[in-house]
Amino acid sequence: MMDREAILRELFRPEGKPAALEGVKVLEICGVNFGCMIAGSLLAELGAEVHTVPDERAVKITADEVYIEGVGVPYFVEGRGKKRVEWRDVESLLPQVDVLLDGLGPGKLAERGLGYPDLAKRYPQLIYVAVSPFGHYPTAKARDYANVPDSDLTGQAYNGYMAMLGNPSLPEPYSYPIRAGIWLAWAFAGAAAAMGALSAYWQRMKTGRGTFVDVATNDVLSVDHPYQVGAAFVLGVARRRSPTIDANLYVTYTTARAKDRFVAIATVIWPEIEAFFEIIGRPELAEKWRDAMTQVEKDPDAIKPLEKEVFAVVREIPAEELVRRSREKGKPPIAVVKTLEEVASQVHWRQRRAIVEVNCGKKLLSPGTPYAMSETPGRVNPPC
Amino acid sequence: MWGGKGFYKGMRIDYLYLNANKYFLGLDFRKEEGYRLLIELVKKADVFVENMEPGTLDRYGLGYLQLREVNPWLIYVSASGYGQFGPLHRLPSYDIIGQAESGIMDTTGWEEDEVDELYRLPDYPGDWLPSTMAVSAVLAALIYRERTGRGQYIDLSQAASLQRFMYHFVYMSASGRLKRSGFFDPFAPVSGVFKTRDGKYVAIAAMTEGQVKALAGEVAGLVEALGDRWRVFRVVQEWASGKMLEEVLEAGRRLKVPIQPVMTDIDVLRDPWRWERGSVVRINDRLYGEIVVPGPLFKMAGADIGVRWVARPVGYHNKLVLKKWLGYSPEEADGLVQRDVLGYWDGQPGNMPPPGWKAEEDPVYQGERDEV
Repeated sequence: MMDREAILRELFRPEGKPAALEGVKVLEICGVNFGCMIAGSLLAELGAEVHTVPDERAVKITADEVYIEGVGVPYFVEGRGKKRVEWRDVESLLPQVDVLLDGLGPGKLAERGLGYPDLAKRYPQLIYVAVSPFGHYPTAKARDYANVPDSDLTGQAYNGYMAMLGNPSLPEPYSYPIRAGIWLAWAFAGAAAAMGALSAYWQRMKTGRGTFVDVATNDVLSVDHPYQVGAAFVLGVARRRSPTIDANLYVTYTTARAKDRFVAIATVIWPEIEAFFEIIGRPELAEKWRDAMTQVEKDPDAIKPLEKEVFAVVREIPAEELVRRSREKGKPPIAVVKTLEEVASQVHWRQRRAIVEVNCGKKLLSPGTPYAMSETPGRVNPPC
Repeated sequence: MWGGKGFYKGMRIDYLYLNANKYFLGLDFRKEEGYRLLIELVKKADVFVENMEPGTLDRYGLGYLQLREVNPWLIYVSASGYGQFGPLHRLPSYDIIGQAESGIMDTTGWEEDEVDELYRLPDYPGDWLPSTMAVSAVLAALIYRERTGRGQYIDLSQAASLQRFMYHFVYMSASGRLKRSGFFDPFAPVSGVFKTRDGKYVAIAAMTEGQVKALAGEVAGLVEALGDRWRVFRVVQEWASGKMLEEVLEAGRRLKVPIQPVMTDIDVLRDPWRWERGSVVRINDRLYGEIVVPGPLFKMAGADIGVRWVARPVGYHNKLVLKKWLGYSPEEADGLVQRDVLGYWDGQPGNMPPPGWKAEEDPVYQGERDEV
């Protein structure tokens, strides 16, 4: 008899299966807004037929001057599986389009006679999804910034996200707030827009009518995560930025340098804190740590001498040894922080198609799809 | 949570926020009668979501392979760190472990001669981004089921959801590793976080040639510095440090270059734009009273979406759910409580009704009416 994992591996085998959104047609006009393009890509992975009006400025965006088959790396990934069309094709496509993705900013498509009110009259079934910095919903700021393009960095900043990231104890400017290492605001904006498009599609199946979905990159992280609003409401002050002490849980939830490399440590509940001090060989520090943590809110420096002592001990222990001890004890969760190279070489992610190898003149690695679905597996569309 | 201030009228504040618009049932499925009751609910469910360690629910007869026999229409979601199959699938996870295993921590921090540090991403994106992706997968599965009548199993991995947005893998194989980025967006020729004359942080990202050119009209020495991110940083810092935050923001609007303040929690809460848009909303919850909550992830014309009620204590909706889903009377529900099949909150701090609450005066708790 097959074990559970073997059965599931078979169940999730993607070959020969349909996609969930087969027959759904998407037209994206995103300009240089990658939040919008990510929404189109996610819908394409779920099987939608996506037509894109490319913007050469977006095609050129890359890092370190790396281009693959003439396109920058972000476009290489987010352009996958999309059919390139021209502006002149838009009118003829519109009658068949289920979802129109607009990343140009408020009023820009309207200047071309393609604003939502006009299109809704002509195509009542159309689902119009907009992604922009401050939304199309008419606010003073949406009007003030209607002509300013979107960016991920400013999205991370305006969402209150960067204010919580980085190490304020470092010398300037390393002490400044930093960014998440990926386009996190655009990833959330794209995921939100895809979710909005599908919610509207589901509603349309019941009512026959399309609608307008509006995503704002500058609020998407702070409405998805409840902490920025919730903490400020409850505490009446901003949370403190700390690379080691979690600002919500007030526990050690951190990366730390072990003897040979970084580890991630999650001591969320008391038995985990106790276990942590046991596995580093300093059980007597647990109570001291607990006392210091209760003072952190009033006096953030109260814990610093002890923190220094604790992490100096961690620094003497090899990372794998810490993991081994935590697994032996059953807690707390500790993991070696994997380098990109290690992640890319793991069979696990290849088997799951989370990271794939593609052949575009040369063999390249690329993000695959996170949509592991038994009946309608996500598609890893070819980038070239 | 939040230094002991994390309770709002007896409820843990994160629990209160994370569980909006849900119905709370306290059911012991380890008991035979509880298991049968849960199966009756599963027969009527569209979607089943679980986040136990892989294989745990199978041991209770509640895995996908078992429940699809009961309800072939069911869309079943398992959320875990590594997914349900693959060599690493048995390992447990938290957000931080998913982050460590995905590689995303190796992109976040500094990798310079002076500073070599990496950090977790705050506020648990290893939970929030995957769950946002999962909702799309569920909606797609519902659309597919409507057409075909077939349910399915969605296997969500926290780490894989983060990896989806890591272009670093392409660079690694095309040219070489992208260094951890600090406050620079590596895809923008001009970017970073800068300090203004009034001591505020501001983020600037000129993504295109046109934006760089516009900024270069204001920032002396920018053209000459292009290609060297620290040199670019110094000339833009020189420019920004001579201006108040509002002047830098005004330049962004005028030049059509993305420039925004690095906001704190309080800035977010007080931002007039958010109140005008509905990204921050004051609601009057039937049980917990006035509370400020984040607005919906997107706005949808003609649809009233967002928080209608915040979390309830465990078991609070026992009678209502059993009545709505299975037609049980309050007396039948009470019988299940007496037999320890159904239960309620146990007085644990953080999972309580508000002070002064009276069960007999609460029609929703009694199953007599719905929340809204």
